[in-house]
Amino acid sequence: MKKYIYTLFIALVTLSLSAQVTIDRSTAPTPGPARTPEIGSYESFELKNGLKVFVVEDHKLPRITMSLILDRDPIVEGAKAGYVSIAGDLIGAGTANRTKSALDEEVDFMGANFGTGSNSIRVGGLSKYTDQLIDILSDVLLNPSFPEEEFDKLKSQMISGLKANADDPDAISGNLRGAALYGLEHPYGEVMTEATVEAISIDDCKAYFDTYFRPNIAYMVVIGDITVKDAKKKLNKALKKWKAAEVPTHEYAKTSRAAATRIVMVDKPSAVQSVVWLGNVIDLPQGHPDIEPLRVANQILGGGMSGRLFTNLREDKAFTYGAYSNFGVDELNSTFGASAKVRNEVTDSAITEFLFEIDRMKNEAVTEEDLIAAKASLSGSFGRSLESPASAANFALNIARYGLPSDYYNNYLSRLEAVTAEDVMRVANTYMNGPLTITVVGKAQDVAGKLSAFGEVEYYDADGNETEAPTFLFLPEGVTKDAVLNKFFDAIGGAEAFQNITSFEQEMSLEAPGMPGLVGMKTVKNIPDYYLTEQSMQGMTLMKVEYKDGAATRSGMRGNAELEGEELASTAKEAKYVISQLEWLENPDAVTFDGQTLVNGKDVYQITEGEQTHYFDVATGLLYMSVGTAEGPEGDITVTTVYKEWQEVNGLTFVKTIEQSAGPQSFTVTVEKVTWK
Amino acid sequence: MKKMVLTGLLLSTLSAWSQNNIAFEEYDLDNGLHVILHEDHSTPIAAVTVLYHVGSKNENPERTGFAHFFEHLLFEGSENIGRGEFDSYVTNAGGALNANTSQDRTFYFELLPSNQMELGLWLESERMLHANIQTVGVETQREVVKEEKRQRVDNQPYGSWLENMMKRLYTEHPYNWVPIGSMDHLNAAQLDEFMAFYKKFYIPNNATLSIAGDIDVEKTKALIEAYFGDIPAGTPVEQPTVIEPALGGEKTATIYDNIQLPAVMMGYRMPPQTSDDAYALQMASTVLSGGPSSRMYKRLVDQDQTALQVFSFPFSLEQGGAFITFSLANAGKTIDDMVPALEEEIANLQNELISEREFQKIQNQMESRFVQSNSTMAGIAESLADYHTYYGDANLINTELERYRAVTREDIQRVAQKYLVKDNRVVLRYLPKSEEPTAAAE
Repeated sequence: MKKYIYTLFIALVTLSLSAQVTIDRSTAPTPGPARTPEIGSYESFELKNGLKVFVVEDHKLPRITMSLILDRDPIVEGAKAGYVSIAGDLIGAGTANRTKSALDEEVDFMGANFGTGSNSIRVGGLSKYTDQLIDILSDVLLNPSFPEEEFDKLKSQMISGLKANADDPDAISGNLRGAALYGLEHPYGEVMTEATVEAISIDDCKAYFDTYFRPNIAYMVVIGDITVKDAKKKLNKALKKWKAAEVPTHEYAKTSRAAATRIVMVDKPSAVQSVVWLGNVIDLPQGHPDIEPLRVANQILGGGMSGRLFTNLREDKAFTYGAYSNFGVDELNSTFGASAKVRNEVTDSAITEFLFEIDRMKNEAVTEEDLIAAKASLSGSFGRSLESPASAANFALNIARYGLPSDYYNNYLSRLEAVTAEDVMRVANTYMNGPLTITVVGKAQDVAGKLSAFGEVEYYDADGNETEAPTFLFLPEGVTKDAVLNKFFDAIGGAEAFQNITSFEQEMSLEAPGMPGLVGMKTVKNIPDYYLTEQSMQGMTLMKVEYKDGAATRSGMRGNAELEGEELASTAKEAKYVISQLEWLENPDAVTFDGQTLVNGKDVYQITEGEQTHYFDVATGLLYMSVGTAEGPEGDITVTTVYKEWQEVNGLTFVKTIEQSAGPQSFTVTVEKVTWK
Repeated sequence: MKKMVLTGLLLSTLSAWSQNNIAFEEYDLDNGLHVILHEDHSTPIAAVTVLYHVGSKNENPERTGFAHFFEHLLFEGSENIGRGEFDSYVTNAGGALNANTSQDRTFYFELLPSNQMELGLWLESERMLHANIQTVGVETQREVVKEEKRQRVDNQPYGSWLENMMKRLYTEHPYNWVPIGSMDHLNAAQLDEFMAFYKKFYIPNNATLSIAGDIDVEKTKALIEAYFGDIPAGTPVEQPTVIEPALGGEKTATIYDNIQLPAVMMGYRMPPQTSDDAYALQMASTVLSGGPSSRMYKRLVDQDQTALQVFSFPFSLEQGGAFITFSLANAGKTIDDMVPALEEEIANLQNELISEREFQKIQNQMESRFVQSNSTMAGIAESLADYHTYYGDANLINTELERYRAVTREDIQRVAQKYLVKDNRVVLRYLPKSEEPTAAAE
């Protein structure tokens, strides 16, 4: 009974509460008044040796983190790429007072975190261990012992790490991007390899530490359950012996952009997805007023799940699990880029969509709706970031490092609010504009053919070195020689139609660099026993070859001659076949089908005929290129003939433009007129 | 398991404010929806989360990948929310959202400025009440999920290891497959099957609504009643009851992958995550690989230098799971260089009690981890929902350390002897494809 009364009582309470709220499911609820997020406060002070310290007190949890961060210029490591990184690890591998294993034990016993890097030393844990954590930090900083065996171990681990990365498409993509944008000689482009790691000595690491781990270029960031006063006292005591010294600076020229769109690729034959990135270096220093407009533009283009890239490439086309854009502001070189991982067969289509969306940003003003949404999203994300006490510390650090106004982050939201649609379009044209560099890590065999639509594909290896285009030849499933030939004949109008031609005439003009004028060429065939070819310039015959009644003669500037042997046989064939491929139907063993490959980025079938190789376009079936050799004045030269364009003449398709190169010479032949019956 | 609404209210936990103590209130709606609320005004944000107690283990073996696929589908819209608008509502409000699916649960969340908290309630109630499942969404998300699998599994070195492990470790139990599931199954699925899955599992009495942040509890309760109160309850979901027979002997498999460094993964069947033994195994794992002074790390990475990385972790699940050791060879080293040392370290755990000092160390590590966890509103909301769903005790967020403290040195030795044995394990040997024997050589 008692329970019943309670039930009734509570039910009434619940009812009355519900009664106060009415909702309309058909529209989104109206938000209440917003609380402005507040940036946590910090204090800073400087030790006598020049170390600048930032303290963010946060007593919510009994924990603390302390990070020592160096602010130095980027370094080119060259033939010893990786030494800065090994030095960073080695610092934490033992001190004069603690072996590595003693250090590890001490840290683990507190359940603490400890790590060193080439620009940092960090400790963190429960605040009851604050003194011990400071002791470890200062011991590591003041008395590192650089043990030889730990150095050897780190080196071999780094080489193992390189092997692990060798198959990681993201790691390869990172190397490729650096090499393509900056080149291998630049601190952002150089690539660590086994050879560069092998070249590192322990003295390189010691010298790096001695030179750069100096208080005058360092910041200490303390966050957590500690008072400013305590922090000051403890750090002063622990780090007063740390000596300042002059630290070298390094200047680098601004990286220039490529003059034309580049498409660079690393072939990863086992890939089932392509890692695509496209972007550019941009000139955008810290604190620049274009940063907020670009943030808004980037948010609209590819800032998240509502971004145009995500909506287009994932939700509309289902090319990818995610597509995003971003930009990074950096003192040396800022970048803008967009990326996605897409399945092999849509790699080119995905790039087309990326370019389409970037163009839209440049050419169309964003709507008021887009603008408001992007600003809301960015302010929200800023607000959420303030949940972490580390945000206040990061802001303070950035203000100091980059010389920003002290209220830079306090005014962030108002700068964001002031961004207009015009601003967005302007920054899109400044920072998202081409020519872009497009990088692809994927299976060249499947994707490279179609990529040539964006430019000539440049190939790199996984270490960022330029390399030859991969030559792979494979037998595509279900494709035979007959299929390739049938596809070719179908594409030009059918083998039978060509076999039924009885007479054929063709006029062409030949153009070559350095030649005073066009050379006219004429061919006449009466199948199967008459063939004439004539070359003339300004009405004068240069050469004429005629096959008639089983004999052939050549006349013209080189004099007259009866043709014999191979030359005679070849003119006889010309008379017999209106196009040479017809012979293959009668004599199928004259050619072999080798498989499918890539030529100039085009997927082609390869057919070999004696010393000649022919390539048929997989997409169209048409002959794309023939490669053979000819005798030249200094030995054999390669003759490459590309059948650039085809044309239809009364229902049949004939070649229209040919580009031929023979050794250093190249010609363009244009077919002016074809008649046949 | 399901508490009465009113007793829920009466018993609602209102712990006193103190450092590290997370106060919350919990109750059930009439339709069975479990609600947990945590109020914290430090930052003007709120995390709105819904946990559905459905994961890949609830799937039909012929339709694996369904639970995860559903997670994708349920962003497609509802009767009142157009296709693609789930995200834009949240983003435009300055929030963020996402979801994830495991073997045991599907979890949706919105992180919002606190004045937009009601938006999260509207969206989540729409998702629960009348999701709009249509062909266009199904077709699109099928392709998206395939890309997700390519990105996470097929194109990732060692990416297939969990799938390979679970299918050998469990043969009867639905832990046999992993949440990403089979693409063939997804291809074969018809629209009505999706509708049936939704009706069966996306019901208030199979869900926990957990909210943490800058909220007014009383106002929030009223709003929750308004948005969720009239969603009809469904037939209670029955969790699988498959009893997996003993593994009955070690299983070994060699997998040739696009890698250069060999790796070996050993997986041992585990008891359910709520059991005392699972806690003891968590401690055992910390002895083996918690930090650079741990036994396996010190032995294989520091001393023998046969491994570039080694770690063990209990992949704890509601009805079992796997205690995993993962060891990646240093360049030039082989799996056989690593395995004897791994086995020796496990044998040491079985043959000798760990020292008092080592025991103190792992307890300190547990304490540190515990104190530092739950520092964000999103993390708190999620932990509360997890503890409620799997343990029936959301207050574990404040007390779980006691369960670790209850583990003795003898317990650690005992669970090592009981579970970390050959008869109870699967060994996966990952080798570079270049080492794969060719057909001719065989």
